[in-house]
Amino acid sequence: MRVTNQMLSNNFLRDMRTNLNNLSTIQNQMASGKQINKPSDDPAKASKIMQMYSEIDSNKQYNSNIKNTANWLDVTDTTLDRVGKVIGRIDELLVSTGGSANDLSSRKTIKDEINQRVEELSQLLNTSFDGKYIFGGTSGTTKPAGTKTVGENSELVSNAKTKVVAKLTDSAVYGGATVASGAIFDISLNGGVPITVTTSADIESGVTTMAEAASTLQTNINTAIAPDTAAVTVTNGRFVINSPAGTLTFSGTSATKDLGLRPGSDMLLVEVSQGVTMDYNITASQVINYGMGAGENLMKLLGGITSHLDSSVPTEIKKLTNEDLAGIKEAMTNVLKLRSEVGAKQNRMESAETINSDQNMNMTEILSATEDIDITEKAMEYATMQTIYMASLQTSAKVLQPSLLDYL
Amino acid sequence: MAGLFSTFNVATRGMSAQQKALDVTSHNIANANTEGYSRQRATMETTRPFGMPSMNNAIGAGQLGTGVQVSAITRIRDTYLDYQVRTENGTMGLYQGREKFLTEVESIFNEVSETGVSNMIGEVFDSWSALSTSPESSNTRTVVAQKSKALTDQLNSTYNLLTKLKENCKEVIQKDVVDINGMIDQIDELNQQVRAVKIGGNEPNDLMDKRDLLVDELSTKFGITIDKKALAGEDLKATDNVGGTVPSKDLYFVRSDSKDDVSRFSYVSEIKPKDGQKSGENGSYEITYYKNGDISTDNNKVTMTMNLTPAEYTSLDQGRVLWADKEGYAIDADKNRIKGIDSKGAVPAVAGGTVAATETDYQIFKPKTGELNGYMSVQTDIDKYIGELNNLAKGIAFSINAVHSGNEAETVDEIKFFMNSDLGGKEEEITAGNISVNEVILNDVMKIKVGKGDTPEATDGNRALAVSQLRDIKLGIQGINDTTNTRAEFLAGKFVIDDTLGVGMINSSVGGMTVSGYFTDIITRLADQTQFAKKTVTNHTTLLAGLNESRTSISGVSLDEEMANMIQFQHAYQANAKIISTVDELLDLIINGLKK
Repeated sequence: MRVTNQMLSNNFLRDMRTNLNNLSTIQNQMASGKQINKPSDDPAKASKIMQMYSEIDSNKQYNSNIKNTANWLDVTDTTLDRVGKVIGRIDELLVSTGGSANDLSSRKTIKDEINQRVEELSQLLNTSFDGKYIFGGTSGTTKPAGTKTVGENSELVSNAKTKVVAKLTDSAVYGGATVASGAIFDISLNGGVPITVTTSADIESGVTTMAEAASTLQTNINTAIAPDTAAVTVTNGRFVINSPAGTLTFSGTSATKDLGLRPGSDMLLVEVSQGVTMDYNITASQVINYGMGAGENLMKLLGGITSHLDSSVPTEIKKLTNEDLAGIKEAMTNVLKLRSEVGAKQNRMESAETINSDQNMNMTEILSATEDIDITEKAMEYATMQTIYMASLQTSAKVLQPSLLDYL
Repeated sequence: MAGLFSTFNVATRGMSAQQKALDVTSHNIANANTEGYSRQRATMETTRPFGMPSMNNAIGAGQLGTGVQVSAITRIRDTYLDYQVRTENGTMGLYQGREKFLTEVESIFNEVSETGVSNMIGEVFDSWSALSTSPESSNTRTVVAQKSKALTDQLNSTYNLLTKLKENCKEVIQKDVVDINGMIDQIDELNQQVRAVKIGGNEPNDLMDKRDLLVDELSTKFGITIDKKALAGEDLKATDNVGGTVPSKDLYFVRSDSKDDVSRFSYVSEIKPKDGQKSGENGSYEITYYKNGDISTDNNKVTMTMNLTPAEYTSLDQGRVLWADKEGYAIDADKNRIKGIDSKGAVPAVAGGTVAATETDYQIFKPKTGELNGYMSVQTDIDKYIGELNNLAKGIAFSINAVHSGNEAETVDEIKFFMNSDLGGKEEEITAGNISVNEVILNDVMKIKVGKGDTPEATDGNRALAVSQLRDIKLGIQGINDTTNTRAEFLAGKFVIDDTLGVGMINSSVGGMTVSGYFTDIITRLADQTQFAKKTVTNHTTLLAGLNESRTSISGVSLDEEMANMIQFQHAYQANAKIISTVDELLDLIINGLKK
């Protein structure tokens, strides 16, 4: 082949450009520590990296959720421990009344202390963390408990309200299954004797308006439980049974299902990993209601104890060491049960955190393997590239120089 | 036998031939670095020999030569290499054009980075997750509102930059049209000059070099075909012509005969809807083009009014280059001018054509290779990216609005989280360009619905939790606009009350994609396309370098070679001169030496 001067210089320029390009790529990689700077450098790697970033990012959020919840559970546990101690102290006091059953002044001293303990209990139930009352359930900004003064005694008051959710939201006309007039379902408060509710009018799909359906149900539930409580109020398909506090169960015919009646959850949920949610709170009513019966709650129990201490009737005083003591024991068992629940949740959080940090570690490792450069390898490449570049400069500088003119 | 004077003549011819060869050598050396120059050679041949046997001539030993002459000065060039270079130039131009814009699209998307859309999508879902754990706090609500706003702002700006890039693309096409018409004019002129010189019996080497260089340059713009004609004339047309299977209908840019019966290109600057329809919908449009792409004066403006279908609109919008006659008026396939209004009134008729061609008979120039194709095809890609970005925006808006409001279908009085910021804009017309966070929410973050029902409990964060779980829900985003337009269609059969959360939640679609998965997909495809364009450019650079090397190997000037030739000619010149002085001595001997 015929070789001309221009070919030599063109070749040199082209090769030098390639060499410089390679050097610049390596320089870029070394300086940023990343294999790729633009997705087009390696599309497969780029999509992997983006996916990893996105997953690591959501993992970080799960991690902060878990940490938050773990702290919340720690506070709950400590508070329940103190609640247990308060109830334990009341237990001790009750036992001690056995020795001075007839001594009014010592009973009064005991009563005074119990009144203080009731206040303390209400304070404990109103413990707040991160701006929320931990026993407040979904109404975490209102105090779940309080005290009222009856005579010279303090009585515990629960602000928690039982909620019932029906399928009566989100549109103007009722769209569930038709429930005929006269349909029956049962509501049971705290596992007490079921109260039968009978519907007084048709709740017809596509015809009855939501407002009508809600008002019918409200009237019917009110009629059924009116002897026991004040009223049921309705907002947005949620029925609030104002008292007593506690859990609700539904039974009876399909009417409950058709109307979508179910207890409104007071549970706080948190997402701890992709698609996994868990509840983490204990509500005040769980602490207060130690048994399933309508009277098995701390308000009635403590109210009873103080009034029994005030009393001078022997049978009443006797109750202190019988029913009341038994009640306190049950309340203590309940608190212990709740603490073990919290403990189980704490364990779950701990394992969730371990899994979370393991995942984080694994993903970071994968990301690093995909994205980061191998310094040694790059340094070698750089050395090779540099040698090639030098060689090309040196040779070309010598080849391009001479011409026939030098010898003519 | 010839006399001494005849030897004088032989030597003179020898000297002048060597001198001419030296001239050519010096021309070569002077043009050693001229682009497109092919080295030239003076072809020497013996002059017609003297002395046929005749009355006056004794029969001697053979014919006597009469010396040398330069019969031709030719350029040394391989036309097959020219053909190869021009074909490859087309592919090179195509991918260079695409690479130029795709790398810009890549930098607009700004991935993989910590400030890109991908990261912002993650942050939005993170903020909802954080909100679900503390619904009572206005801080976490503000974070949700602001992170969402950051995402919509980023989507808006990406959309605007992509739209602007498309405009740039069109501007580049317009400049190319002007360049191309200019180059064609120059080629035409050179073509005529070459023919004139040829007719005069000379070899127009330098003019042909210039013409070849221009054709090379033109071949990067689109594929061209050259028909060689008599007297070194060339007819030039586009490889992808309007004639298609009927080559006789092909339109030429340059013709060696009937040089005025040629075509040029015009540039469509504006396609304006006339009936209040949106751009791209069926209806009447007013189309403005500039004759020969020259937008420097409005005198070149011609407007046509016609009905376009969406497909016709897209093809015209992305193509923009119309076939035109020499004066720049748009023509149909039969070279008839198309009806329209120019600065002086109705488009005038010309001989051989009628004005009355139907408007929609305009011919868009659709080359398959070259820079023009690169710019045209990259617009299709940019349109696709914009479309996908719109789908992403719609998918985010539909899904978050549905869970936020608890309504499967859009209702009038719900507080939408994401809005269409256009005046009176509807939710179903949300694009990446107009998606925004509801002003009502930005002004009062407590309006964000975080819990169950319309008046949720203070620390009930289930709705926010549902929104944050949308992160992992596979949505039918890729089907938006094809099969689903409204929120109700998008969520049909997928929106159910979640028993754990107690709020409406979207079920994963089979074959759907998560929001960030969809976005990653866009980036991956962009990366693939850009990488392919880059690789093709690199490969073709090598290929073209090889071809150019072969070309230089044949046509390039080698200084050493020219030097050697120079010495050769110099010596020959000197030797011829020596002959003259020798003959002079001989004559001196005869004239002054014989008679003393």
